[in-house]
Amino acid sequence: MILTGIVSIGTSNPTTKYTQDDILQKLSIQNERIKNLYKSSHIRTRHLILPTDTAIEETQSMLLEKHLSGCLEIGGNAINEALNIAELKISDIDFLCVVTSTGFLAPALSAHLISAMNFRNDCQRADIVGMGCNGGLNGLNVLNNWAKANPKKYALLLCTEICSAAYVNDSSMSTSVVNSLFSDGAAALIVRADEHVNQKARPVIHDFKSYMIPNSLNSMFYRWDSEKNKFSFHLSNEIPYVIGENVEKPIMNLLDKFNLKKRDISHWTIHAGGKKVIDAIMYNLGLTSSDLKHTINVLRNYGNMSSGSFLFSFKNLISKHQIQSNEYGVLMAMGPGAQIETALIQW
Amino acid sequence: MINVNSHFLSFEEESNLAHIKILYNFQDYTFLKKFIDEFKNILIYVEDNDKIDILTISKLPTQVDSNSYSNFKTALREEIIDIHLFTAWEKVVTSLERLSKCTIAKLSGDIAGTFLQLALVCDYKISMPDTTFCFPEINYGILPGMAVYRLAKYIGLGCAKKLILSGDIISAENALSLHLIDKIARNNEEFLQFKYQINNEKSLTSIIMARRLLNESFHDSYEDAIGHYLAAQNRCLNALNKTTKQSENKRIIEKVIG
Repeated sequence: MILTGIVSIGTSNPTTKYTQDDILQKLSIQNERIKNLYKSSHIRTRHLILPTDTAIEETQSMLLEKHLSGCLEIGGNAINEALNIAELKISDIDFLCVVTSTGFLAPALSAHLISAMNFRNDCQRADIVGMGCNGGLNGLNVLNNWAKANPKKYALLLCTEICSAAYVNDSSMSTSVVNSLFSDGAAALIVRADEHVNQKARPVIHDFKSYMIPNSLNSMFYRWDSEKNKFSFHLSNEIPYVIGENVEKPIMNLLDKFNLKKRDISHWTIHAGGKKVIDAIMYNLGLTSSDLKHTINVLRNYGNMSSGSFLFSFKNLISKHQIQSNEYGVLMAMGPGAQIETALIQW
Repeated sequence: MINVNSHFLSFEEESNLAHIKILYNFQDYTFLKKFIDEFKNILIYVEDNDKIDILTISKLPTQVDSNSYSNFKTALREEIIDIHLFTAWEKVVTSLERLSKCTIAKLSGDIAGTFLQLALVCDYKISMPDTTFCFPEINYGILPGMAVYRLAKYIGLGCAKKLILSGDIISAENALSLHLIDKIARNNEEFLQFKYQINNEKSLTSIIMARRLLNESFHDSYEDAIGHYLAAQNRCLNALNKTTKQSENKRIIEKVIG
């Protein structure tokens, strides 16, 4: 049976890193309720590309420019790190899948990256735009299928998000919830499928399961705000509870297919969507904070980097070298739809 | 239905109630590993069985054996007791503590050491009047498992220290006054009455969620705990809504059929 194995992972963030207090100061936020929101986020630091002078409002055109330049910079760094770890050259990559939700471009980001980084001209590409925080797993699903259809060839997934290019800086609670949580980051993952997966391409990917939660289209959305002349992101305060109520469904669908139970999963790699979302998952799946320590660490040190967040947690996990052969892992990300995406992996 | 026919355990289930009776004599360490494996398998069965809501655990009443210390020393000399045995034991105790069922320990006879460690993690601890309790491990030169961690939470540091460091035997009345146990049932009927009361009046989800939040309350900060509480409370509400909807559907179906 042909299985796709994960060969390497690289991550990158903008060089500018802020504490929550730094950001409150930089954005001149005085409102006590908003200050509390930032301070109770369970986030210590975030990487963001913020303008030198925050008094000058960034227009949508400036934000889109920041999305492009930022994605190319941190995306390129993440790709280079993944290539170095795998001891590959950029010309070894046959398929590039780019995931982002922080800006819409045509030609899409993959074309910009192929041009800027000298990928081969016959490198196949796909862009996943607008799927939000769960987009990374949708991208991995595409990558897995491509790799299995093209054995022994290398495919690269890049999740690159400049959430600071999707900011509306006003004093409303709605935008403050978003501004207190999201951050900039990119993660690149290289996979290769083979009939005989070697130890260098571990873990292998077994399957994916999706679940779109009914009647929750408006729980998270990114829409044009004609008053602000900008795109604006909105998160409903119901989201943690909606996710919690539904999270067991895709997980059980995934595990049942392989006749596994939750106790058979040694490693949970979950999107760092926010403290309340993590709590909801923990208490509804019966997981402990130790099970989600990599997710909690990523939230604490990086904030929510949207589609690439779960890959930061995955990198955190594999860097600890505490994985035994044959152990199972679950990858999970949640986003607009509301959508829950899951994947089963095995070392 | 799991088939348990062992020298160490017997298992029964009736409707949503399951009962493990431990036949193993914990004062004999020789087969403790085998007991742990069998006990673990039953817990897995109970965890996976959606029909079971309440698990009762009891032990064949035994008296403290005067040879128990020499048995312990023999097992130590023969390397039957090692750190891996204690690791396996703590894993099974944690599985019982986190079981997604309501757990009740029915305590009779002399409850010492290993079984007391198991009983300690149950949601309800009901004793018969003549039961005695003791943590003798310190007298053997070892520790009473993670009871050293849990006991102080349940009965306070001072009382836990006295009980563990002295290895003293205490009566059921004493154990009740220390809150080591929850209730003394005068006879089996009273115990069953209590069990059926829990079964009829309590929600399984709220017991499991409350247990978890209480266990975490000593090490979580308030900021963490409030988030955990809200997530758990929402799960309780969802479980209640589901039960209400099921009851309504059942009533409608009965009305249509009837």
